[in-house]
Amino acid sequence: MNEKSQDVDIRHIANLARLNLNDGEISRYETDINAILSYAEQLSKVDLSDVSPTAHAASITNVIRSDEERGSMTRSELLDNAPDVLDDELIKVPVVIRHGSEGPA
Amino acid sequence: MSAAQKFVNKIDSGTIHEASDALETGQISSLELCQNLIGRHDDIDGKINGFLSLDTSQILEDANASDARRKNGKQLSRYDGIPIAIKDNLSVKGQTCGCASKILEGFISPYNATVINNLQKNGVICFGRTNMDEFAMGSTTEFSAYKKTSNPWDINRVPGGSSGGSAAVVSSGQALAALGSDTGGSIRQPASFCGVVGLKPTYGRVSRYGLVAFASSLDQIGPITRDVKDAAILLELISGRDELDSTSLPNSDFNHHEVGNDFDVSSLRIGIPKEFLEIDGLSSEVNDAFEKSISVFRSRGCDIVDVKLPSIAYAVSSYYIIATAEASSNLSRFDGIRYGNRIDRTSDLLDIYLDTRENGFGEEVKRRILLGTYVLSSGYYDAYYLRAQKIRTLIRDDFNNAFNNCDLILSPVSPVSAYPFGSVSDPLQMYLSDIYTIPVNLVGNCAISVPASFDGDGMPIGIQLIGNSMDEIRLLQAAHWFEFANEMEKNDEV
Repeated sequence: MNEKSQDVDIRHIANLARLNLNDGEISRYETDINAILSYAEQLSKVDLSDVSPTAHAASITNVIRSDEERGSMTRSELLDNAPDVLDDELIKVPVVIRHGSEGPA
Repeated sequence: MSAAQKFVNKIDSGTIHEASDALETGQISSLELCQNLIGRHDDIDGKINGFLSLDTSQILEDANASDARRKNGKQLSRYDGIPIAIKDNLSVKGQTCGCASKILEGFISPYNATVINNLQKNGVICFGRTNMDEFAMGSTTEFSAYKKTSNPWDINRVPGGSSGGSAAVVSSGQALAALGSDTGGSIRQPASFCGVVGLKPTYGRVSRYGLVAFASSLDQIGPITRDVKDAAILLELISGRDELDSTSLPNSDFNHHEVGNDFDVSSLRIGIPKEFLEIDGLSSEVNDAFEKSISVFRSRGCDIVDVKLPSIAYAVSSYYIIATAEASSNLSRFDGIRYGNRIDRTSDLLDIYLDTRENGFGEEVKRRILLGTYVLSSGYYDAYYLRAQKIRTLIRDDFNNAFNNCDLILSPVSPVSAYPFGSVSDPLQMYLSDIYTIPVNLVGNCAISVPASFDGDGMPIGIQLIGNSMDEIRLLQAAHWFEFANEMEKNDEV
């Protein structure tokens, strides 16, 4: 594959992956990932027109269980690991939807 | 010398089955067993750094409880009181589970993984949390966010990875056995580097419930042990159908007694893929160890046959696309909201995600998240991910064809033996060294690494036996036989 078509825009990908990267990381990952992808270009040379994909190795699809009641962990057990908790019963997060000039109400 | 003293004196080379016999006959208590291993830990883990944590008071409490059960004839199994070390990506209720990552610093598991339930049902004691490459991404354990684990055979060398901590504590006599996880070789390669046994079971044989997911279609939990018999025992304890894992196979229970001694090795057909011998970077010493292993099987009447795995040439590419794609999806749950570390500087939701993930993930994890995000991103899915899944089909077909002509496949585990810290810095070079192990994860069958030989510097070299899907009995029979025959061969040479 030619160099141009596989120049990865690391900033864009990092944004999709919700990763902040500094300039040093961006240039290092750009080099690494381009090298890995150019190696992986070997896959484009294989004729795969009649081959179906394999998603996982277990010969199982659609496992269905009976619809019955089950116990689960308590709220307090789960909140024990939350980084910020409100009134011992809610996970606290910053404002998600802002009012007025900052966005739709 | 009493029998108990005899076992204590060889505790750093003892096995689960020997300890179990000693416990059953009252030659040793679980408390003595655990105290001795803790003593060994205190003496040497400052040099090895195999454990991330070891909760000694909990362990001694569990050991006392086990001894009390046995005293009253109420032992849960013949393995009641046996301590097993646990990789840091397996959930044990009430213990930290950090995947050697800063992003999970302080996280306490609110539940048990199914494998831990299975062990505890039998009275097995969870013995510490072992170091690993962060989120199991790496081949040297150097990508742990906390510390570098040393190879017990030479502390200036890596133990392999990602289950490097598990392999190192078993190899250095700090644990009788350990659990690891294997997504592309993470049990087998460190076992080979540290001179111990490592088994990757068939995908679906062991429940993944409670294993922190790296690449869900490839991950499998398995044992790292001092001998093949222990690998079979531990597989029996952890295997079985689990409705909490929808890829768990029916009839996945395993009985180690089926790995008997009445195995006729001469009826075995061993396949040798010539593609495996043409790998760039295969060291002459690993090649020699491999050739020697072939001759051990051949000399006892085994049929050695050539098999073809032509699509193996594409295995590394296919694997690193699939594994990173799945990882980027699995690791999106670490966002600083519900658990783990949160970094909140600006009270802005997007900044929490960005800052938490920037500070919480290490270099290799970020690299794989980026690669995985890219291959799944709009416009590239067909070119990379779909293509890689189709290659996976070709590799599976190759193995199916090969197993029409042989019972087991023999190969190296890694092209090289354990190397000094910092000597592989190029990620692609590191990925390429997984060539012998990753095809097994792509196809989902079982494989084991067994110690075979040593290189010129005295570092261990393992060989890999690969079995068909759910054919662990034959795999372990052959491995058990090899372990014995190879020992005889060595004695003959002396």
